[in-house]
Amino acid sequence: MPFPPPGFFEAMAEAVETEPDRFRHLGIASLRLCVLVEHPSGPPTAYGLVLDGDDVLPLGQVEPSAFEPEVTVRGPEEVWAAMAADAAAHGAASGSQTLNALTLAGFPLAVEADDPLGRDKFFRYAQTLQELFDAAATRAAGAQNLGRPSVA
Amino acid sequence: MTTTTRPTPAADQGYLDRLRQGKLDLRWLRETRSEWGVRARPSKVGLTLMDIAIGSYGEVPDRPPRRTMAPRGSDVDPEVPDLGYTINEKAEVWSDNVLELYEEAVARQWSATRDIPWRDLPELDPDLEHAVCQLATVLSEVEMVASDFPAKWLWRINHDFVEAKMFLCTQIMDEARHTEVFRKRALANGGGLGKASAVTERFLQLVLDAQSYDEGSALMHLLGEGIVLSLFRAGELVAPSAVEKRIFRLCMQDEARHVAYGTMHLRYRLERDPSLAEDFHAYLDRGEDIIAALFSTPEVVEPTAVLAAGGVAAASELGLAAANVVRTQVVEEYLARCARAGLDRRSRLRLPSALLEGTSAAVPMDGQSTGQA
Ligand SMILES: [Fe+2]
Ligand SMILES: [Fe+2]
Repeated sequence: MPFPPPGFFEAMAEAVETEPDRFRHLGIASLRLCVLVEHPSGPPTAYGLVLDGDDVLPLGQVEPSAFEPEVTVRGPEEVWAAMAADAAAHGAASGSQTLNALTLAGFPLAVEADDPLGRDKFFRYAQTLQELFDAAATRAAGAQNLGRPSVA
Repeated sequence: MTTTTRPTPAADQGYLDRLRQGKLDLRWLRETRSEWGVRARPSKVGLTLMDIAIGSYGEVPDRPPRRTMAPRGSDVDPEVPDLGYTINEKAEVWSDNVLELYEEAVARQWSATRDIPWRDLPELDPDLEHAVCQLATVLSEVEMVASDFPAKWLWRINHDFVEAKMFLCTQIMDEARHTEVFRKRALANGGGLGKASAVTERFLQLVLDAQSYDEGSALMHLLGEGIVLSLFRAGELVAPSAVEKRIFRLCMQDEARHVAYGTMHLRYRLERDPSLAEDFHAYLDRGEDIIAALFSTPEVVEPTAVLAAGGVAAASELGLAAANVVRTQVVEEYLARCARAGLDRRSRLRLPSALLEGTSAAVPMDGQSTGQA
């Protein structure tokens, strides 16, 4: 199963736009997050996500060195895909498929940052990030089921 | 008991005459030294502390000339009394991220009553309920020290460092909520409160009895809360239901703010006075000794292991391996924060070195064996 499904990160911004009360309630954030997807073959793909106040800005594919993330979450595509599938199936990540659970031991996903403060930001916005990923997974899955190419 | 008589300010006869004449024209304010015309512009989320840190109002003196509650930047009556602040050096409490952390704290408050889906708590196996409730007991016990400690020192901090004081106020509220949410969890699903240990209380005592804000902040913001943050991360992983997972994630967010303050505060402090490093090492030596003991108390270790294994039967093997990897992570994250603050603790570490050695091999590599839902 490929990850990200079409429109996955864009669906986060859409969720914030269409459910402003839900995300505004979680509060402002400030983060440059890189999602690094390792494929079975070939180089990994990096996606940039910026949380800026109440806004979520998906930057699509990025060059990590140019994007300068505060924190990078890295892992195999199949792990990301399973996480998205679980969230889509349950409406929110369950069991050991939450972002925190997947990263806690450093595997199957790893949280990497040059600065421990950047690493700690991944925890500082744990609920916000979890709800964004949950919303993206459910929306992207819904769009695919409707046969639309993208939710964006 | 002795009482101190303070002089009552004499009434200004000239002003009383003007009052009688009905001259309420703010004339006395015209000579005020102020930045008339200052106009802070709100940024995207509203008017933040960062937005109003402009002109002289944004300048925080290293050593304020007065010890009063007069707002920093106001034109202060030279006869204001000394309010007796004892923390009058900016580096004692400041951190470069404190304005942002305050804004974030205020915007990210949540309610333990309304934001946790309490009605969704599932009936648990009694062993798991015992384990969750024991963990909740320990957390409900330790959280409040992080309210008590800043509260104890708050009134001693010079009012010119008001942004740092305001941040500490948010921490006091955060920790009250953490105490609340874990107490509520213990009482919400049939388990009730478990055991409180002497070892835990000894660490809390160390924080409360700290002889200086430096000492208490290093013990609490850096060491204690860093470990609690990692414990919240572990709690989220091993939580038996989505309800506890949400509790741990929301607490984790708050805790990471406190740790961010503690890390950057120590950095600010040491950058200005590197000679203090040895003092901080000594504070952390004492704290780590107690934390090391805490790592091997049944009140903390067993509930985490049982939850990680999904029950008592598998806890001895799977649970301990999982608990070990968590502890390794705890120590590494703590050492990284110390290094960021400018304090190399790796060579001084008193937490058990076994936690750093070869534990990952004992841990299931599929990431699926711990945590249930
Ligand atoms: Fe806390
Ligand atoms: Fe805290």
